[in-house]
Amino acid sequence: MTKKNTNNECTLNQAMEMGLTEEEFKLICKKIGKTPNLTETGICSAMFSEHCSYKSSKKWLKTLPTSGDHVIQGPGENAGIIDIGDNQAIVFKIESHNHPSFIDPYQGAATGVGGILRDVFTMGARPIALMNVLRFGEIGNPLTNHLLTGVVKGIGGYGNCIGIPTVGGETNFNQSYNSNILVNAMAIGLVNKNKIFYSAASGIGNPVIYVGAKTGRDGIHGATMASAEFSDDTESQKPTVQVGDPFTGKLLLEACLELMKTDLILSIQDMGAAGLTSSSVEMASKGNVGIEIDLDKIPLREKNMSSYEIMLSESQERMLIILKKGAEDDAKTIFKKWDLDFAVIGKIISDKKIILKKENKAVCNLPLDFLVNDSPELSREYKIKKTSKILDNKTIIKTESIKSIIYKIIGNENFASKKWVYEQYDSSVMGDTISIGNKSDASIVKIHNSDKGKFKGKAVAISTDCNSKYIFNDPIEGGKITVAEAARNLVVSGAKPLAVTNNLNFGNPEKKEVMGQIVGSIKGIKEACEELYTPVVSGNVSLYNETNGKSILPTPVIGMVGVIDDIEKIILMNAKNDETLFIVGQDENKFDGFLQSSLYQEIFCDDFLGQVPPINLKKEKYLHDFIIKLNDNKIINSAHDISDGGLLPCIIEMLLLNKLGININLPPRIQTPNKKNLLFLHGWLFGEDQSRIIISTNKPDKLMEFSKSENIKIYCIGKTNNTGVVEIPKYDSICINECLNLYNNTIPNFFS
Amino acid sequence: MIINVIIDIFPKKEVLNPETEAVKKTLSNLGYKNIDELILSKQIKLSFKNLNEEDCLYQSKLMCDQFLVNTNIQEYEISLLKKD
Amino acid sequence: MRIAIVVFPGSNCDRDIFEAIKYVSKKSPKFIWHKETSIENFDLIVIPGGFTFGDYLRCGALASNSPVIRSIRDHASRGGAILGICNGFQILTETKLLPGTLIKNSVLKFLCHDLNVIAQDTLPSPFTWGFKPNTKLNIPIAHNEGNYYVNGNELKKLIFNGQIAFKYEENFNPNGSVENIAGVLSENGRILGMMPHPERSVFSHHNSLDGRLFFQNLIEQLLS
Repeated sequence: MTKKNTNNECTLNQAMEMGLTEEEFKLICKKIGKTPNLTETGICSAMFSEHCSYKSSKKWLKTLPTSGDHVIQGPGENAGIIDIGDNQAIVFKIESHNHPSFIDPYQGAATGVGGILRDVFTMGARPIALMNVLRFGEIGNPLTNHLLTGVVKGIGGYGNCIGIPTVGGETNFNQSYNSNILVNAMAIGLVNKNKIFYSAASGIGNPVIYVGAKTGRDGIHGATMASAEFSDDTESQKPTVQVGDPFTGKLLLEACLELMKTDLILSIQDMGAAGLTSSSVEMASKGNVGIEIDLDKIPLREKNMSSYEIMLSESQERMLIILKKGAEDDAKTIFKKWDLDFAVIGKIISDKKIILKKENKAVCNLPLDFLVNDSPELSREYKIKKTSKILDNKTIIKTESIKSIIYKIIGNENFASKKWVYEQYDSSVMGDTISIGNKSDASIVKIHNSDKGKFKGKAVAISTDCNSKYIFNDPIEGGKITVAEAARNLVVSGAKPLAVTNNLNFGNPEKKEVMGQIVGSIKGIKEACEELYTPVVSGNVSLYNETNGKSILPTPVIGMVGVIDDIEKIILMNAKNDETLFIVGQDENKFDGFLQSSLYQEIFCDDFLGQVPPINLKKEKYLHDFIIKLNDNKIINSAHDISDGGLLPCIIEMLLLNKLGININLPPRIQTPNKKNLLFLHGWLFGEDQSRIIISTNKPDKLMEFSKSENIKIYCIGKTNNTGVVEIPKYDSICINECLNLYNNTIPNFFS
Repeated sequence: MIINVIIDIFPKKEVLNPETEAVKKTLSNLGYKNIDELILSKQIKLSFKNLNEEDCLYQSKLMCDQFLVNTNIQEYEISLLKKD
Repeated sequence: MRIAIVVFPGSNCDRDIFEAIKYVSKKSPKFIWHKETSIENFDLIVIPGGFTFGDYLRCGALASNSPVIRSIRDHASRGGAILGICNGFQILTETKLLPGTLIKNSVLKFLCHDLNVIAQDTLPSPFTWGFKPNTKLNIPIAHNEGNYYVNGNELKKLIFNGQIAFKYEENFNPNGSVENIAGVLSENGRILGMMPHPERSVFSHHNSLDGRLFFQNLIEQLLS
């Protein structure tokens, strides 16, 4: 930085400090025909960063299915939009705030929630639900507890205050996240189909408006920070963390929705990552126009901010709006009512450039096509690595009693109830919450005022999923299972799956194996989304989740949204007394199970390397359609997907709430206890074979009739009773109260 | 003339303050065993122009009673710092 | 029956209360913006929950200095009925229309879950007289500062006057409130502040319908 330069030209060193590579800097100089100044370089660097350009993943993301009859907007806008009928649409997206949350758990998580909410309401939607997917290091570790406590308070701090219910998600623990936690926040909004707002700017001469909070030096270069690996000097990056203000966020939400009721807005976008830079560049380039901004007009919180700082600040709660000419005064009145800053900061121009002025001097003049279209797309080397290890169940199975095994599974931090976490979120504000993922496999929110007379209304169901162990062992199959399971969770809640948002969290893509995890899981996700008719309509990529060379487990999170066309069709997961439990997707000829990669293996072998349970997507889809049919015929009383932990833990989860018992009907082949049968029994009870669902019913005959005519395997587990004991005849019996105790107290015990 | 005012707001002693208790407990866990008393306070700094000391004090007190302090659970101290 | 809902910047249960009252009374209540200076001829004023002014300084402290508060005081001095829920309760204590203060939950956490509140034997009041004493209502809470505090003498007075409207169940006090207090009445019984959210247990998709009962009773009492 010491080298003196004339005309404020940026040196290669300075460019590299901002995160550009030498080739990228040379390309920039060549393409714009000059050496850029600091501000211009900063803008290029932000636009070329992994966070804004998706340069490592773009090539592969393009392969995902993104269209469908019900897709109104796929990837490329602030959020995806799907049609749910009755002139209404659902807007949703998931986004990560991993690095900021590690540095400052409260603010990092809070601003993550704030940012994803703005992505949704900028499209005209009122947010109706929040979800979050969290990954932490080992539980009990003081750092984990500190991070978890802070992140949970941050998520609640923003969501509770702004008054959008947080209705579900997942919190998991694994030592691979010790120094790289994941905080992925998802927002879901509801909009009238004819009142959707997009970001493409239009109309030469139209005013460019800045609204919301003032600009400070918060988070300068956050986008580049999110694109760089952590090292031990991360502490020194602390000043770049943004501070969220949910109160201003609430005012901005209400003011924007009020302005959107008029027809004054042409386009609107949130100032998210890379702040004013990416919002202005994207709005203008999407609209095929140019933009001119007078930086002296930007409402500033601090004195003497440079043009570079203003353009790259990531201060929160700000929006950029293109208004119709002459609409400024009417718009201003609304923002004044809500005590928010409002400034006309520039105009749309025909020349496809971004031109910035400060103190009457041009400080930036860059061609837009170049910034957007010429941002690098890399073909990084990759190697899709599948675990070569093949394990026999014999090597996995422990000699412990079934009872002691089930208690350990239920008391495992990745299985036990996360009530300690979700009770800190306001889940019932807005009055439409039906399930927060504790009463059913999916989170369910009623569509406000959708009821009419006798019709009780419609609902949106949301699920999130990611089984990192599967993806680590086999990226392609693991990717498929993640999508299939998200869909299954919706189906067993009574919903029809519609579309997906994904958050691809991985380590350093410059490593072949990590890139292989990215490519492989995208291939799997693609295949499953095609087969299950759930296109990917929005998403986010978070790479370089790695510290001192150690990478996180691959975590491509799937957020799936479905619709329940009549809330009377909602299926809950808790069985009642005197109902018959059936496995759908399996029959009496199956008397063992797939234990590799299972929670059982992870807990008892302290390792999860192995093959992944096979999945047949056609069979999976057929199963979903069957369940939907059963539900339409009112055969299902409750239902639960068989996933983590296998059959027995899932049966127990269905019995917990009403403290029921059951006599488990074992397959004939393993009814006699002996050494060999015990091995099979462990597999049968704890194997994680795919495409299976447990249902409870009072109409077993009807179920059998349907299964015969549809050619679907079913297996009768037994009838629920109120003994509070799960009997595995001749082998063991399990006490539900003990299970309940472990289920509820495991997590709190780590925090008392 | 500018007069700087510092208002310290403390929770009343008789009101149980779980935040204070938690901080004390953590400090004790960290090995600081000799802490006798710990008070978490809130400080407000403000400055007046064109007012004499007496009026500054009077207005500060008024602000506290009216708005800044909840006298059910908090008490306060005002200090003046003169600056030319 | 004319009902007003006061909206402050940061109120977030205004719509929920609106829907609940509209459902129960078959009539839409009126929203009043906090900058309005005259509110007259209402049978009930509701101050909804939320995070008015971001809960900055103290919960409810900034809202209790809004322009609308003067006319709320006038309404109170005319003996008008006022209901403050959650943040609305905090605003009512900050304005001193109700005694006591709501401080941080003793567990130092925001808490949102269903629980039972028990209606108490109170002085005559439209808010409680529809319930037999000891009636249990299943209603959710969602707050960070719901720990009700009054000093010993004031508490004695509350008990003596029958101003305690609702209590949490013994051993299920979520926030550390003295005497398990979940809601208190003014000395004339015309003002109620409560932490639980009755508007979240009104509709058939909610976990309970006890909030519906609360509003039905209230409207009935106000009409009689």
